[in-house]
Amino acid sequence: MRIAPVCCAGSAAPAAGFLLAVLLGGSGSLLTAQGSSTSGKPAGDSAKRSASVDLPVTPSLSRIFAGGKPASIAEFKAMETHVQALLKKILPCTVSAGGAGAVIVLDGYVLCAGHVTRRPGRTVTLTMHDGRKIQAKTLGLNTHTDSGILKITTKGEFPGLEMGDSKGLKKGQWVVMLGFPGGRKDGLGPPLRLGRVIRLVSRVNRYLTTDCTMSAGDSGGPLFDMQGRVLGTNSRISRNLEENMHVPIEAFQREWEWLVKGKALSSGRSPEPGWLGLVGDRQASRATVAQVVKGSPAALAGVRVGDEVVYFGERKVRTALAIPRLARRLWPGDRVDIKLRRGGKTLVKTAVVGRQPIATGSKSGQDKR
Amino acid sequence: MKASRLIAFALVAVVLTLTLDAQDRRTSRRRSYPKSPHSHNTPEVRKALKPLADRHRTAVVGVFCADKRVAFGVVVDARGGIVTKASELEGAIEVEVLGRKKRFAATLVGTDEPNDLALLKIEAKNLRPAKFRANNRVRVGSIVTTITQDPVPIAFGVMSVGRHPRKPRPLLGVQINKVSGGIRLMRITRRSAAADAGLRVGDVVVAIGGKKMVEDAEFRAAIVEHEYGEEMKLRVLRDGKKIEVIARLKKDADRHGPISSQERSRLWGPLSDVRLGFEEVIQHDTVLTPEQCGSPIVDLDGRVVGLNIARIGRFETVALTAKIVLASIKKIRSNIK
Repeated sequence: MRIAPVCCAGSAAPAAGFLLAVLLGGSGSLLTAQGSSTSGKPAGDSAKRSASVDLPVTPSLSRIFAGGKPASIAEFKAMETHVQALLKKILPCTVSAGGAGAVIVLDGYVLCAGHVTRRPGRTVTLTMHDGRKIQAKTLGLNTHTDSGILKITTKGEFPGLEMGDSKGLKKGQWVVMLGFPGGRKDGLGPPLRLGRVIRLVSRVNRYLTTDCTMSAGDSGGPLFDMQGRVLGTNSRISRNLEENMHVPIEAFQREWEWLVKGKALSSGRSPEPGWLGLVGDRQASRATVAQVVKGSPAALAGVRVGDEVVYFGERKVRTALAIPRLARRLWPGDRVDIKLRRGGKTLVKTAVVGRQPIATGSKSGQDKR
Repeated sequence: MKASRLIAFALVAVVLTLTLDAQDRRTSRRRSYPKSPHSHNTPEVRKALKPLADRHRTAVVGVFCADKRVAFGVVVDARGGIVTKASELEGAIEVEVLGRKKRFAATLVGTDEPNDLALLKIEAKNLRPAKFRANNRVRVGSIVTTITQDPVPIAFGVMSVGRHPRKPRPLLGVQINKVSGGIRLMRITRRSAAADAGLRVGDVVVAIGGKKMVEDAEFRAAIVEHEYGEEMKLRVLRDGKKIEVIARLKKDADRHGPISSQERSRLWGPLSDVRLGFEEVIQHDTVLTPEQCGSPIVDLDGRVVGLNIARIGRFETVALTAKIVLASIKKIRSNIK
């Protein structure tokens, strides 16, 4: 399968040239005024969320948007009216970045694609829907997932959209997309696309695929659910017209604190190993727990000394040697089911993976954030 | 006797399945898109739009050249006036009207060059014309359906970009080479904007409109930033002296427009040949093939709001607005009088 990024591959000279000019023109220093930015995950309750009002949705519309199909012209009409109302909500937050697109979310953070931001610390000019030009600095990115974020450096209040839930999506769900194929054109908004979810993110598929057809220059442009929540950003296409791949919002959410810190990541793995706080009993023939760090994720989940670990998620655990390494490949914040045997009974405990406390004399329980 | 009847029946059945099968294969090849059952443009989703096709498909004709359908057309008057996409026509033209057995031979009444619209005439009576109505009610986000002779609209999409012209590109008329210090002119097209401005082969363009020229791409981008008819200021190094030249850009006769390398490789199917120069179009996200152009787009209220005139990109289809189609017909008719 041939997959091409949808921004730089287009040889439409003006668009590509403009993009390069904007992105290469940066000379900002990286990571200075980061003090005020919280490192909390954006999925949590952010106090400074734009006052977004949900658009009214009738039961028949919500059935359609969840993956159904309009049964009559009247239902198509209702969908059209909804899309036009939705457009008013999403247009002010959709910005162009040279030959690409991006979207403003909470607190002046801007979501884009990694192959557009290209490296942390660049100064980029963004053009808002009303033509206003603002400055932003590129922060972290992940070349594996193709996520990339920026922070607006121009002073002022900016609108922002909520992040949606790409994990809860179902195939066939209706979505809309905006982008700037061929660059931004004065007086004309970003072309709107309507489509449905074709393929979900899975262990073998890191992109969210829709049939919102993209073209060269659409990179970084946002994908929305029918309430205008951001589901991802445009990344790449294949020769199949239905293969339009987006960086799912979960990739941003999972890595948010590293992205905010301006880290350049290059894999789908966590930059910091996940941690549970379990120590195995090396003398035991089975995977028996010898110690549970006080206040650790394992302790909070209710794992006790003497429990025998049988399954960790879908993985069978056979020896105690495996115990301390169990969560290493998981992301802090991931939830995992641990199947235990305790005194002849089998229990399942759900733990939220944390991170290793800092080694120097730190108390346990530091990872509660 | 019974046996022979049975055999005859079996034979008919076999012939029927074979033809059905062939037809299936033909349509499936033509409609390899959409593939996914979750796609928004599957027949199941479009089914609900059938009333729109019922109302308008009798006004849609197939336009054939050399026995191949090259475009659709729309009947605009009951006595045989038909509009279609001009650049797809070649040689003798035939028109297929829904419900009429024989194809009609068509004569070309005239064309509207900039809008790539042709007016045809067939000797037929009692045709059902479509009513193009100039109106401003469709806007970005409106759902538009593409109607052909099929019983269900062949596709629907949303209007992506509102009314806008698709102007021809500006042309300077030079071939260039990047050299140190600027862009050297290697060849100058006769009677081009460059020739009129007195540019010479060997001139090195240092800057355009105050912007320094280093790369070929910058040079091309600087031209495209202007519109045809506009003046462009060039700073030129000639015989060791810097001079200022003002060139008035001309219209590019090439109406293909910019195309990315991905599009050139036809990765997602062919585009229309003529993609630029239309006076006013709306752009929608319906994926069509070039030979599906010439078909009407109808909004959800059943109004004929435009005529698909070109597939210009992977997803971009542009349609002439009803206003332009009406004006164009008028223009062609007044030209022949």
